[in-house]
Amino acid sequence: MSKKITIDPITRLEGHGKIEIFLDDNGDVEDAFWQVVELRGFERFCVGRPAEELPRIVPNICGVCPSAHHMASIKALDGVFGVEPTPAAKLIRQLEFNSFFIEDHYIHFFFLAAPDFVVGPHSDPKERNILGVIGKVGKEVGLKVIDIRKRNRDIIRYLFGKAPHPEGGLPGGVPKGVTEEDRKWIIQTADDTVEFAKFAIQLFKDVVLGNKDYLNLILNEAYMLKTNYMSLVDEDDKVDFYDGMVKVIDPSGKEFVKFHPNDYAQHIGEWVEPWTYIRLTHLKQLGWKGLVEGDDTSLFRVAPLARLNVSNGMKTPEANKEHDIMFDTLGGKPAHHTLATHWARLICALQAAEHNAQIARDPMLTSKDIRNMNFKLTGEGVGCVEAPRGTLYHHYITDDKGIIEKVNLIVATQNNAAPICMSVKKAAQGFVKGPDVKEGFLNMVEMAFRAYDPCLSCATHSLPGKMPLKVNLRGPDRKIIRTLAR
Amino acid sequence: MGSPILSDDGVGLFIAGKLKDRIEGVDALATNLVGLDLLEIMRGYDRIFLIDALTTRNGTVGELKKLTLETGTLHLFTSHGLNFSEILELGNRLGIEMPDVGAVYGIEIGDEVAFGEEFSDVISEKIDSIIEEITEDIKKLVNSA
Repeated sequence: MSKKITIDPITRLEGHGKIEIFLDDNGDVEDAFWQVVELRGFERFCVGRPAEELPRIVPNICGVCPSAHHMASIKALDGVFGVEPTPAAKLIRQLEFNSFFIEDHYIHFFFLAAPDFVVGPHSDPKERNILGVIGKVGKEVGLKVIDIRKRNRDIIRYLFGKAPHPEGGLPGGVPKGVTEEDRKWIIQTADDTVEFAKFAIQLFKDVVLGNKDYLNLILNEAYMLKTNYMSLVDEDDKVDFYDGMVKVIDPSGKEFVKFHPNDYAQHIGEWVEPWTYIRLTHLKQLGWKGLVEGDDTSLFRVAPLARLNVSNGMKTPEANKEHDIMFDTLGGKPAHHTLATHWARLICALQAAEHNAQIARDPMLTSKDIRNMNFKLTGEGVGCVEAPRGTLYHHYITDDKGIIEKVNLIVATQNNAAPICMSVKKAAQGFVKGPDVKEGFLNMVEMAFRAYDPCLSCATHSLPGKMPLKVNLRGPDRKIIRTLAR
Repeated sequence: MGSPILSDDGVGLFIAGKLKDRIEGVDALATNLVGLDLLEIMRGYDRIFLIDALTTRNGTVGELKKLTLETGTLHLFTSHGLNFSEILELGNRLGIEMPDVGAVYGIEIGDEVAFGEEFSDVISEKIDSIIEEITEDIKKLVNSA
């Protein structure tokens, strides 16, 4: 008699999702799915609006990735209006976007990931949170996180008018330049952030890599998944968050394809399955092959580990050193270790900090040439950026007056959705045995998807309002035979 | 609190906007921020009053509920970052001056929330009386302190 375990809703995930784990007669995991049970239809909401309204609307899709949607939207508008931003405007956009990366990545690491590694995956769930982390590493670290995050938010607010839901993006540029006076505090913030970024990586090395059990967890086969990988890279194949070409490597690390973001629809297929509302992406050239890993998979992964796997290194010197250390430890590229995504995330944050320190000193930053107004409506634009959670596409089509006729968004969590399902299944198979599974092992299943930092951006409300981990064991007749809850 | 583009979900934002300059000694702010951003907003205040949309099982749309921290909404208990009580606890543990909780007001909305900038007919009809009720309750609580 097969049994089903339901983890619903998942903890520390933005939005609504649940995990279904099916046990066979022997109590082994037969199958597992990560389901998204909501449909929102945001793209339809945009139709009929002037295109220039979208950069102010899309940041409200959720409270987690506003700057990423904003930036992708601005870049799509560059295409719609046929303008290239000026070099100074591009610098300012990158300064803002790096600041967003920094605050986002540290929220994830300290608030969502560190509880598992610093407090421990089997620790009391009541302690497995940021308060427990601070209890272990000291309140000075907590104050540092809050300070660095606030000061990077100040950069966003200064440049784009409002944080975290920026409103400053304009086709062809930015609305406001940087003064020499303000350059001073931006340099100070950027320099302090570099120091903090180095501190965070050292903390990871000391607390996580320095603990043999945790290192073995990262290297555990249950947390490995062999897929293709996708990321933006610059002209030197270095990691780029804001611009560049989209590069895809196969599971062996060989370049599969490199394409301009405008051509995304030729390379990314979307597949509908009856058990989830997320359209599952895959490499179109290979066709949909289902939830399989290995050399025959058509699935690809995005997000920090994918960026580092795909690239030839980082853009900035200290981040590049850390990139080399990571792959030396993991045994070379590509690394299929899902939990190493946390490590890669800290390296990406270091690049963002170092890059901002460079931008802050760039003489062009204070140029007054911040907008190209030479508009020529083309009626179509694709904006592509590396959102913190991975490659994000905004595609707009307008009529001859610039009114939106069609919008297509491919978001990072959508790109990772099928691999998340597979990671959850492998972790469940590795750690769940029978219906009497302990909470800590279920948390280890959650750790598989938490590494992706998935975001469903849902605003659904329900009482009691807490996010309990509920485990339902069901018989073939679907009736609950036992419930476990945190 | 709420989303400005999710129809009735934004009812808390609308009410906060209407409360601006309406109660002496009370600042009103409409925000769709969560997590640590709320810490930045709340730090330094004496007391906080929260207004948000919520959905309860068997709830009646348009009903106003006064909640404690043990109940609440997913906005208050967001999973991406910190939930509301954790924010207060975090601030207190770090030595940051955090407010007491005066009250949490929840306005019952339907469980099917679609993208849109208009309220449903039920919420539109009841919004004025809800604003009045919340205003009077906050005044009473502020004056009794």
